[in-house]
Amino acid sequence: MTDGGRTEYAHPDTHAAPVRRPSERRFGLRPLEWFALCTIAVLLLQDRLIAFFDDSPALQTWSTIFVSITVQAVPFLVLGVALSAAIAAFVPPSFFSRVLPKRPALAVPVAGATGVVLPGCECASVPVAGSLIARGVAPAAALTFLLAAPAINPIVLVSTAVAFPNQPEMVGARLLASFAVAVVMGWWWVRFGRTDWLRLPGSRFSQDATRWQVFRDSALHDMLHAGGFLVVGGLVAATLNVVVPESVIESVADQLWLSVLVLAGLAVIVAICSEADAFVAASLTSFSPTAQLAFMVVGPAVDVKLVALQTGTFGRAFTARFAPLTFATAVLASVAVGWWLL
Amino acid sequence: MVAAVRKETQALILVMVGATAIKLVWTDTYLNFVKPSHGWMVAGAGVALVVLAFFVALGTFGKQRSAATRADDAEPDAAVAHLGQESGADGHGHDHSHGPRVGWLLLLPVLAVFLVAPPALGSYAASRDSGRVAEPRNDAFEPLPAGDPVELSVLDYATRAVWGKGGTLEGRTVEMVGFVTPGEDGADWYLTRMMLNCCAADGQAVKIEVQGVEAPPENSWVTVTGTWVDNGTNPRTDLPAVAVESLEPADEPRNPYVSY
Repeated sequence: MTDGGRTEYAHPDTHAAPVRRPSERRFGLRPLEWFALCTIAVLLLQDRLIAFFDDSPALQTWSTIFVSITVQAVPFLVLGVALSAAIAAFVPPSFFSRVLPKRPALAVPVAGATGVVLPGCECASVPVAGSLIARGVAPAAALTFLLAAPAINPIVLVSTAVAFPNQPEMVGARLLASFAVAVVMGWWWVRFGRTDWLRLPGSRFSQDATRWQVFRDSALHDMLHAGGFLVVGGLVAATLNVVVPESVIESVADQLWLSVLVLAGLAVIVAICSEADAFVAASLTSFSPTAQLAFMVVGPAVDVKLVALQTGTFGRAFTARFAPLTFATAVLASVAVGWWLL
Repeated sequence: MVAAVRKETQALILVMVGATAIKLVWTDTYLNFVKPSHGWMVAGAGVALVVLAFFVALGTFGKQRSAATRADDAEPDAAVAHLGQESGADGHGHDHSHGPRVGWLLLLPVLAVFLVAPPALGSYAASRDSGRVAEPRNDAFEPLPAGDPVELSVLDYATRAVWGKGGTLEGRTVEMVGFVTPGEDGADWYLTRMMLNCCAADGQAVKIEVQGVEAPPENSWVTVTGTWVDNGTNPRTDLPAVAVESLEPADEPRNPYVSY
């Protein structure tokens, strides 16, 4: 894990051990200088690059698919990030303590329902859940919110409706399956959870930041984070669409459990933000709706990004239990709801 | 090799993404990728990103002016460019004093748009697709409007031919615009359009077998005038066909795709 770029050298000839500044230099250049260098290189190689792509319709198709997923999803990402940054900045945590019932078993479904109203990108939901626990909200309810808010908020549901315009049942299926996962995991914690698994986090932002500063910086951080992973998702979708032979895709897609597990695994690896995963799922046209549903239900619940965030916020003991269990629950919920509704 | 990201660089990335989005809509190029109805959202998102970047940059410069001391080229350590005193040990497992490195990937679509200028999906994508028409939502086919020939979209023709069993097409002369895809299974070539459900990533081909005219260059756009011929009406196995009376080159339409 990064140490934030602060490395210490022991120089044999000097007394002090110089500490690298935050504006670190890699190979003697700062990031902005690297950026300028790369821009110049790209401009110089421009003709070669264009010719390279022009010669290959496969590469052009690949680029079109990649760019289209990004362009399609960016507005939803912007909306989701803006709303979740607003909530991080402007909704006081005491709101949750007031809204949630005291008994954890009751608080769990209510917390899940709150997720429908409050958009939260995965990047924000983990720190928000952490700060909720730190302020005395029952961990079970906070964890339910952690799973529900990214998965069933209005932006996600709208984006799912846009991605599957001829299959409105996908929206309902997603809502049902993700809500079930969130509530089941919350109740699991009520029954089996132990607080010594949890390492409570500090606050995400300093106390003297104004709310607009919190909003601005949340939005910035989340946009880059989510945007980067969106690009990963677009790259994977484009590659699957163009590079992988259709025979391979079709042989996987035809089998229920294999296709569900493959897309669930893909969702974990690709770690795309929930506002955008519907567009990637929709591009996987060879797969059954149930498998596409699994992609959309598993993604916001557990992926490499979330595992990293959860480990960092709550500790390894928690994540080692929480993540695999969530994965299994999400897969089962998708298959069950898919079989029933799709 | 990828370095952590300073605030100004983060803002720069956002500006480039936002500017790309705005440029795509301004020049109508966005139609290669998404449906026309999505244009205002893309433009709006682009503007929002540029505005956010502006305020981030503003905050950066504000802090730098008010910082007590400055080293020559290094950021003042604690009191600058990033909010508050986020230290590396805030228990998150990743440092908040620099932006997420994965954000650099956002430059890839920017590069793709400006360098590669990805074209609309064409015959390469269409060739990988069977071209069979999916079931339409509404199976009541209204009679065609008056006109000889009557302009019709490839999607409309294909749906009426296969799902409507050609009833509404019989005896009419139609005019359609599409691009050329090489034929297979005895067909010479297909008049094709790519149909979008959501965006170009899920585009599927709609193909009409063309009879009576030799194949123009692959991937070229043409206007075809002809009449319906029965080529089978099983949507699972049959493609629609048209007997062509005349054919002319056409310009690529502003929106190259079709959708329901």
